[in-house]
Amino acid sequence: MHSIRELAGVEDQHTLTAALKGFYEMRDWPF
Amino acid sequence: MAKSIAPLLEFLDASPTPFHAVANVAARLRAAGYAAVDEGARWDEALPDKCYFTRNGSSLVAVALSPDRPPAEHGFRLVGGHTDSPCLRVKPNAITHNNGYAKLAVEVYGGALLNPWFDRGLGLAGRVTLQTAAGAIENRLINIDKPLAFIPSLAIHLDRDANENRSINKQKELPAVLCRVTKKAPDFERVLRAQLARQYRRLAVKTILAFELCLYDCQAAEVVGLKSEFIASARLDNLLSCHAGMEALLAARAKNNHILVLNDHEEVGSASASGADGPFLHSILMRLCGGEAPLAGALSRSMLVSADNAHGVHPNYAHKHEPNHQPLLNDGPVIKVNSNQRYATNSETAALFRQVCERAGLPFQTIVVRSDMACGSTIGPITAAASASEPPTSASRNSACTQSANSPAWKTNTR
Repeated sequence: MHSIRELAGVEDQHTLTAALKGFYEMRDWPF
Repeated sequence: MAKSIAPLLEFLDASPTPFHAVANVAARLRAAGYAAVDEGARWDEALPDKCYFTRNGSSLVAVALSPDRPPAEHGFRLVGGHTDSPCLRVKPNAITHNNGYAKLAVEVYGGALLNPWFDRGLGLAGRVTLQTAAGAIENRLINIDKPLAFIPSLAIHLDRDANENRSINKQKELPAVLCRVTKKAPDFERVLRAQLARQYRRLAVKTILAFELCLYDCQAAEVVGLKSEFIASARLDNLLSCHAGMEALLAARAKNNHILVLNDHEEVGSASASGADGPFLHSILMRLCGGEAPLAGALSRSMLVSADNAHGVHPNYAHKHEPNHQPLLNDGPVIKVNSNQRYATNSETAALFRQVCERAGLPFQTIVVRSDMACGSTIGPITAAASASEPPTSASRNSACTQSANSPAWKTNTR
């Protein structure tokens, strides 16, 4: 990264947001 | 263009500096019912379940507590990102001139790829600290959203080796052209005063005391590609993660104690009062827990996802990637692994993030840098180390476990 203009995936923004939401809500993790 | 990507594009365009990014996140949080809390307010005052703190106007910690989950017993779920991006920052004595041209003197902030800053319209934005006519000292954000500056390349006729051996002298070749000078150079303070008058009609400025201003690319964020599947924009690193973290926080059900931490100064090492290597997050968590002992208990039950960008494999430079780890755009979040702790991922946290993705039906990818190349880093290891509870030997299990989850993105140019 670090160019003045970069490229990312549209769908990745949705999947990352969904993954972070799932992380926030996850309760049953043993460690 | 998919409708749901529009808020991200608007956020990217409206956040040319860390100050603007924090102001925009804060506005979104307030609209969702989060209360702004002054970090200097009395610690014995009860905090709302949903609130946020800012420091330096460029870092933010948002908090959403679950009423039935005391932090000391249940810990926190934290998502972290950074608000800053490499750029050109204006020097305090801003105007320089020679050969009939006035220029803006700049210094490079962070590890910027410099060639792409040439030959495009550059706007100017940031924070101005001023004294009002009434004597008050205030900060105001400004954004001159028009191409007022330009760094022209030297013509190929005057540099025949430009395509083979171009190097950039940061002092001599980066000052941005503002205008012709016929009689005297422009007064930069007058430029700032005029912009302040445009944005804040009732503001009476006595003295401009100081500023932190950045040049930025005026070209708006856009969806590109034959199938409209890519986003092209400035500051994707790391406003993508800031936006995703904010939306996730607002959408998450109150099953845990949720924290969103967005730090400034990641691109210059994070060692500052508002950076991830500073005391900001620790101070807020201490306040939420009510002391060192309950904080230690909370941290032993906490996890943090450090959300930053991963390098998607560039089809013209695929050899720069480790052959078995080549993330693709739109193939899902990337778990970043580095055994030398440039990323804080370990087997437990990688497994956790994998479980999160699988339960949500999401794809995921993994990246490791080539063994013969240096690895980048981000706030994950720094935040984990800075938040570690005593004893330090227990940091891998009994303090904030850290995970890197990232959207892959290409550099438009390699470095």
